[in-house]
Amino acid sequence: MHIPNGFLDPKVSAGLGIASAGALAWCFAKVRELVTSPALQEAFSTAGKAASAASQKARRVLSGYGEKFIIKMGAVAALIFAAQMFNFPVSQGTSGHLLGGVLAAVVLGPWAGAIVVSVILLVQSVFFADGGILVLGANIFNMAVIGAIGGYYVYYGISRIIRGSTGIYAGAAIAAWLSVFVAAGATALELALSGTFSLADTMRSMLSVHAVIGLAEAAITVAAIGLLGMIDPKMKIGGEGNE
Amino acid sequence: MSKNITMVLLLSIGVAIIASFFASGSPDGLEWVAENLGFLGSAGDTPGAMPDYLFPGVNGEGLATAAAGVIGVALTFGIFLLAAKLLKAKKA
Repeated sequence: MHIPNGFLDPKVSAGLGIASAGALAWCFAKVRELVTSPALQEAFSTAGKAASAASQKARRVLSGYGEKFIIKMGAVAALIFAAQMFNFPVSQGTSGHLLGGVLAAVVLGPWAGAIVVSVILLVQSVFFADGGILVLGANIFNMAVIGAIGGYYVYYGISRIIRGSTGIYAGAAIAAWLSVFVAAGATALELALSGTFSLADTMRSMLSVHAVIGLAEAAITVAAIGLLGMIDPKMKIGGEGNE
Repeated sequence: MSKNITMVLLLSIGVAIIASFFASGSPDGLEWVAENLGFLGSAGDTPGAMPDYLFPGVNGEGLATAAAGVIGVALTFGIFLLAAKLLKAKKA
């Protein structure tokens, strides 16, 4: 559901751009905390405790774990990019493809997951003319903020209620379906706010098509989490970036 | 790079290539809605190096899409690899 240029009113896309920029700033701050550690010389500084605490806050360097985590983000991004190229047929002569927000968030946590989806959307828009560059903020809002961050908390809630791998898979499946359905509703709302078409008609059409596409999102998300879990048993547990 | 990362990257390249030959050409959900409701025409032209995932100058749609897909996989991974290298260099 990559929105092309021209579908949204500039005011709507600017507003969503600001919202997405704010959300991404938060995501970058959270991931920075995760992938860095205080610089060594400060940690062992003999200076006053307050001064060393202050400089520790300012000076953080990439940790060994952090370097591996960023490279893992890249591998997950590459896999989701590739999976998005698989347009599967849906009834009525339409097709769908994976959005991947919940998949990224389950494996990497919500903040790194949202960054991964945003980078994919950026690459798709800049290099492949898939999703307008002027509405990139709207697409990031729908697929990364709603898809990865919103989807993650649905997954997280369900995986707390149902323990074990059943909870992980059930949570991921329900969150994946919902992420597509809610993102479709948000897209319809954005189109209607832009005066592109009436809300009722756009909403009805978007939700009915994406209710079906969401089923495939759920199936692919569950399969991919299983597959990544087989490649790296630590991967599917995910929660690394979720605090 | 660890064996797991290499495996996921090979899997990604495989998925991109296979998807290129089997992907449905039908419009996606949003395009379909736009077409039905009659506002597809308001879509503006978006410039891009490889519009519609077709690598220029390659004969055959499947091959052109596969080439574009492999480049896309490399680009997405490359951005994160570059970020990791730049952040690591800052340490020294």
